[in-house]
Amino acid sequence: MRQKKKAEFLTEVELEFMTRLWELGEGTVRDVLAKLAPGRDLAYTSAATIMRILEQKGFVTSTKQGKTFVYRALLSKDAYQTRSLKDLSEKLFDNTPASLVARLVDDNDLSKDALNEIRELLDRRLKNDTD
Amino acid sequence: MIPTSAVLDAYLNFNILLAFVFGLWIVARFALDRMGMKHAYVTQLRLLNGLFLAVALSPVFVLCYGLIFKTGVVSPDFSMTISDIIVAQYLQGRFEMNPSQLEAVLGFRNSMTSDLINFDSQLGIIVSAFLISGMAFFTTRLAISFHRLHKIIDSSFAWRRFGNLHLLLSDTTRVPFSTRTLRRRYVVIPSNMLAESEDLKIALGHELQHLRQSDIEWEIALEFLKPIFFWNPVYYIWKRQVEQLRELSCDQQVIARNHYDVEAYCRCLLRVCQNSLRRDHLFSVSLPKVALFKPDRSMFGRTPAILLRDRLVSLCEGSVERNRKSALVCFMVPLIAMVGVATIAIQKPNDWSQDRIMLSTIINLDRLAMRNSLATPPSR
Repeated sequence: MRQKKKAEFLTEVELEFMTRLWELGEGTVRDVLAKLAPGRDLAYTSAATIMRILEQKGFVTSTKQGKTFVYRALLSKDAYQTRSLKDLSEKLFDNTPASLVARLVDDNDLSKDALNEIRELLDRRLKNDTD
Repeated sequence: MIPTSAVLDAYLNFNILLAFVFGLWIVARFALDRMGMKHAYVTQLRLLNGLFLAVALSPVFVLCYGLIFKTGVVSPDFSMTISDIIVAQYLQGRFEMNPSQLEAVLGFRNSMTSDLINFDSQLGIIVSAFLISGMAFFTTRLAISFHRLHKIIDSSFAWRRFGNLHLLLSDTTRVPFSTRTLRRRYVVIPSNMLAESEDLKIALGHELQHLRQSDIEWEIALEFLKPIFFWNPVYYIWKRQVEQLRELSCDQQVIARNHYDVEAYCRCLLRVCQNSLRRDHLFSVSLPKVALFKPDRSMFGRTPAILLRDRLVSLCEGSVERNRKSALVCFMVPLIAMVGVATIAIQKPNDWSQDRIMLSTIINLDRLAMRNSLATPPSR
């Protein structure tokens, strides 16, 4: 397979696979397949292809153990979340993270607990910065 | 070296012939409908492609016609060109017209080609500028579309390979399509489709059927002709017709060959259509490829929605008619003969024939009589 320019973002299916791999820590194609929703009708070969593409994109790495490949995420979930949010902030919120947070806080569906949690996070971050 | 006038003449002939042959195709399609072969899409597609090939090979008919004359089988006075036939009919008194006017009508094409080559008249300059700039624009567009296609293929991930057929997975495209280069054939599938095994099977079956039918080669050939026929509406209508028949015949063949459930197939088409509605910038310029569903609207012809509806209706009607080879031959042979006759008929007449000399004499006598009538009578 040709080496491709490293992609920054995951497609919908790839994200689904990466989420399972992040949960597993490391695993084979069969392990990831087993973690997918029960109704998911996905052939082993298709799953193996998705894992190979993820490896080419630089999101996972594999080691051969016997006849099978064991995959491990190269990028943590947190790092990918940061990357996605940064992209979202740049593209949709004119590179102003405050607008992003404002939109989130304005959301009526946000519970009081969630709002308190956000406040605590902000307080903690502000306190750390002043120290 | 081939003179410019000969090239321009051949170009005009191709355009006239294309319009005439499309008329023949409309009649043939009507006849096929009446014969109960409305859904024999494979036969119809082959017939349409065969007619296009006949137009492309029309210079061969002219060559054969010239050879027949050279061998002396036919009298040198015999002519099949329309202008010679019109002159003969005129001289026999079949219709009345001012001889000078008739000459002007018959010589219109010659004077027009001369204007175009020599930039003699204002109209000639405008038409020449339009043709040259149009050809340049569409050639650039073609180059851009090939470059874009190359980029899509280059950024895709290799999935499988069977000989010179490469199956690729792409993050950038939402509609499966097939294309080719000189040596390689490609089927490009959206990588998200890997998670939908039923859709994947149908899309692959569909694209492989396009490869079997040589649809990609026809599509590329038609795209290459766009810079030449860009101004001719018949070209666009023809292309749209080919695209429509190509999809209908492909759907029919895939269902018949793989015994897919028609409902599942229709649902897959709708899903692909839905995905393509999320603006796919890669498809904003028509690329030399054959896609499962074509979301872009052409200059002439039906909208993609109507085409999709036709495909779904055709699939649901379930009338898979036999595509009889005998019917194809029965239609193809006389139609190609007609293309041959039309090719000869629209050629420029040869040298001065007896009839043309006679027409010229009539015109001269007419002018002389007019001059005499205008002259003042001598004083006595």
